Amino acid sequence: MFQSYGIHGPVLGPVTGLAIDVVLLSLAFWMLASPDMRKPNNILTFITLVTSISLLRVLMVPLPNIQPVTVAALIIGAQLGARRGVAFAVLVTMISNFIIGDGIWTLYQAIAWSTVAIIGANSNIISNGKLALNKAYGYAIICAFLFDFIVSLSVIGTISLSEFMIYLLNGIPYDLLHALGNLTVVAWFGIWFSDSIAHFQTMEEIEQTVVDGYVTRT
Amino acid sequence: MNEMRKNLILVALVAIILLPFNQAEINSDIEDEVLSFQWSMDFGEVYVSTKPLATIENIYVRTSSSTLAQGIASVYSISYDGVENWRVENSNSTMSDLSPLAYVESGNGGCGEWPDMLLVGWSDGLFQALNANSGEVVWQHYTETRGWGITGDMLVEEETVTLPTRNSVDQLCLNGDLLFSQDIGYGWRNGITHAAGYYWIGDEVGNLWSINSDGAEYYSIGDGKLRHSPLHLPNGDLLLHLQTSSGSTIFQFDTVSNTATAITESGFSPGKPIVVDGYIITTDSQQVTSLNCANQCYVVDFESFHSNGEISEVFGKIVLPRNTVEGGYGQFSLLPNGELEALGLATYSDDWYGTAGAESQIIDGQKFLLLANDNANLKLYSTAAPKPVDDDSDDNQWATILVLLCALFLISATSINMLRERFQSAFKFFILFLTVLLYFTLGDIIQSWSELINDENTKSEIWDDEWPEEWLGTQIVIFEFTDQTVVSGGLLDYDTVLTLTEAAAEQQGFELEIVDSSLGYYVVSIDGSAGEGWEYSVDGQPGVMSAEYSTVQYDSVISWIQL
Repeated sequence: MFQSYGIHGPVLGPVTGLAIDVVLLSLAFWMLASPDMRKPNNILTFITLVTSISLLRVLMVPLPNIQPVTVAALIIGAQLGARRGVAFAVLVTMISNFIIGDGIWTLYQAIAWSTVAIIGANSNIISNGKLALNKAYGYAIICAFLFDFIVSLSVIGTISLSEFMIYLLNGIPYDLLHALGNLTVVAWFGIWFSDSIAHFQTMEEIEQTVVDGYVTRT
Repeated sequence: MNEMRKNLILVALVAIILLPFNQAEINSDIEDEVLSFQWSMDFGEVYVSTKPLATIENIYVRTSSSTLAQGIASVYSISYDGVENWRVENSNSTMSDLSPLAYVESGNGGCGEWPDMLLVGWSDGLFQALNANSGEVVWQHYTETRGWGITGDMLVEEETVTLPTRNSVDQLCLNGDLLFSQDIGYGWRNGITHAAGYYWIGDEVGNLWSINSDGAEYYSIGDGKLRHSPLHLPNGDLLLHLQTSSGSTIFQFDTVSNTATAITESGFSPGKPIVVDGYIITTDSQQVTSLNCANQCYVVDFESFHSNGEISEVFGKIVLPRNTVEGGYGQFSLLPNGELEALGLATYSDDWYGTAGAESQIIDGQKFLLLANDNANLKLYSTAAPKPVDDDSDDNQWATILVLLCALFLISATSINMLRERFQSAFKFFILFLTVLLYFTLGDIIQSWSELINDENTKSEIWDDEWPEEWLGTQIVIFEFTDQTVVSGGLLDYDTVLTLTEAAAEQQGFELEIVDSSLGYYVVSIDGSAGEGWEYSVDGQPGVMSAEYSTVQYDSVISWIQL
């Protein structure tokens, strides 16, 4: 659809692209700047998470609009909080787009997935440490449409409002596939992924508690 | 009454306009199968007087020239892509080179062996066997000339070639060894036929000669000229079309009693008769005639037409070159009862006088048509290459079976879980099934959805008169750079904007940079030029979906505009 008449979004020059990458990277690391993330184990775990989801996204490129990152951002945001969720979203976008292809859409994808992570952080899809599937399904559908809408905003300024509406309408089949893909990921891997992240969080809490206890005793 | 008169006049005008010989090109015998122009090759100020010869691998064509100033008489080998493989010239051959080319496959016999060869008889009397792949002379044979040399059809048999020279018939083994040579009367465009144990040939004074290695004998047919190979009839007789001072006469010659019987009178300058579905088709300046010669020949039907050269059978139709300044090709259908049905005149932009027949060839299901006339412009038309049914169908079958099995498994799992009231599990399988279903039908859904929500705008008229006429009916891609416009046409059988663009880019030597964004493939740059981006339109209408999903028609014009 980028190639449609007038619907293409601006093309980034090398300097502009670099500037955007620097901004995104800075944002990601700023979001990660917290005491507990200074521990090597935590950093390694987070990097593994980012890398594996990025790789999964690259592998699933042949499946149009099947975006495992959306569900991952939602759950990570719910389990680890908005800051880490945003950092995760930005890093995964940058790393995977480095392989798939970079452009103005990178910025909007990062914003969109960050928004999903924030929604996840403020949702109640995690209850007693467990993923509430029904709620997760609902948020998965909403986030699919939301993500696509935010990414579509990249063409604002190059087309009129009516053309933008037509552009959105033409994208509905893609949105449906995204939503179905999200539902599938949540249904099959949601609980397992959430439990994995919960274990990571649980370990952090234990370590923090031990540290706090040591500090108190001393 | 006045109203009725006006209507009648209108109907009459329409009827006049819709004449039987409506303007069209030669088409395939299968509906919806179009013979599309591929390429043309202009040989200059020479003539092409005999039809091109198409083998499975190459195309061979000969040109003739009256003077060296016009050009040198040559034989060309050309690939189906329109690339010249080799060319052999004969600067001594300055009379009309009308002797049809003959292709011989490699073989061996009692007199030796030979490679794949192209046999060429020149009007200067030289007869050459050329290596079909390289054009090198394998062997050659000199014949006597008087004014001109070899102009008639040679006869190639299992191990021999029998050729008509100016005043003899020479038979050679295909390795070049001369087997016999018999003197006959002077001939022109007189070809050889083998029947009843003899070789038969006419001459310029109306004699029919019968020849073998032991000698030659002639029979007077009439006061005229025999200028084609006698046609061997199914009943063993020969059909002769004698050119006379008042037109022509068609004879049936009994090879047993050696007597000729006149069948019918016809027009001037007869062409070369052929046999089609058991009927004999003759032509001349007056008409095309069909005869039934199962026993005694008789005329079944005739249609007015002017053709003096070669008759061809092309994809179920009888095609003849019209030998007038207007040119074109007459098309006829032969009905089961031998009657002729006029199908109209096929016309082309370079029509002119012509005697060369149309050559057709079918290779792996793909049909080819070659046309050339005295304008010496060789044109190739072809149908689309059929998809490899066997490979595709096997792969498609297995893929379809696999998908169906998966779908069956998923639905079954869903159902079983539903029955066991394990609704969460059932939903898992069901949602996976839906995702798979939507994935495989996404293209169709996108297309249908697009048609539903977008306006059906009138197709803009975007044909540019400066484009070659050969591009009509083909797919065209326009690349509008900021500083230049490059147009690529003559493309065929591409289904989507993306594949058509890739083909056009390859044709122009452009490199396409394509990335996969989350909303589809994005063309970043064309020929290294990105600018502010590229946008496309199809037939003047803006594209509304990703290029890999946007479909095109057989004659679509895609425009890529750099911003």
